Amino acid sequence: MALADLRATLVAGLTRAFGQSDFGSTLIEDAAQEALVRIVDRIQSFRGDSRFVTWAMAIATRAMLSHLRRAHWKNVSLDEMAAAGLIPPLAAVVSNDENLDRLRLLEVVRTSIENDLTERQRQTIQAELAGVPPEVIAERIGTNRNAVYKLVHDARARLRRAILAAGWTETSVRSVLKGFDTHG
Amino acid sequence: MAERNPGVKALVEQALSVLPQELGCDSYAEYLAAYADYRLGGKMPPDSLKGVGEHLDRCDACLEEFKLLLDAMQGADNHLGEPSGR
Repeated sequence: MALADLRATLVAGLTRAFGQSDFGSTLIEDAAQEALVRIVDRIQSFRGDSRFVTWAMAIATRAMLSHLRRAHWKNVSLDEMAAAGLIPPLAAVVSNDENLDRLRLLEVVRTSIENDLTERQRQTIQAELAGVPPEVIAERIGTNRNAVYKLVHDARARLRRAILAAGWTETSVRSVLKGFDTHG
Repeated sequence: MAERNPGVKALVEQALSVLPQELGCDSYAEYLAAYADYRLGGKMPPDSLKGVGEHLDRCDACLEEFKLLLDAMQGADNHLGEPSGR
């Protein structure tokens, strides 16, 4: 496929996925051009285990989405992001919640967050809970998406260990979680 | 933008579903196109791509990206006049 054809195909795909009306054709054209540069740069890494156009479109989609996510979170600090994802203070929940199991579970989670997680894990997991995408977190803390995912994965594993060590089983936790639909 | 369900419930659900070994967001992306081709063709991806599905079950950001890729491929295949998938 010639580069001009590939570029037109990327534009057609991005327009379908992101909608020209929302972002304007210029942004999509720019993203397709940026993706084209990356595709040419990485062409040696194409293994042939997918169609070439799918491989190229995956690069273009990530480029476009990352651009939009970074623009969306541009003026927000990591602390502000993390604050948006904070679990509500226990006192606020206690005043509205008479379910003791729910309170016990919340206390285990809160204690584990305070004692078992590193500061960076706390920040990252709370930012993630606020809906901040991994590439934005990665950019703020100067790392890559894989490292952010590892940070979050390890934090989740520590929370899981703390919950089970406190005597909960997966079944009992899931039963209590049903009540969070209205109280979480 | 995808919004993650905030709060304790989401956090605990994520903790319960954690696996000992998971692909990271960049590692998963290396196999994304192959996985997408199987899905576009309506076929079950092979076991060698199991980690991609597991990652998508646990990462909202990548799931959003995957869904957009499937949409984009519909547009690309319409443009090319080709059937989707493998």
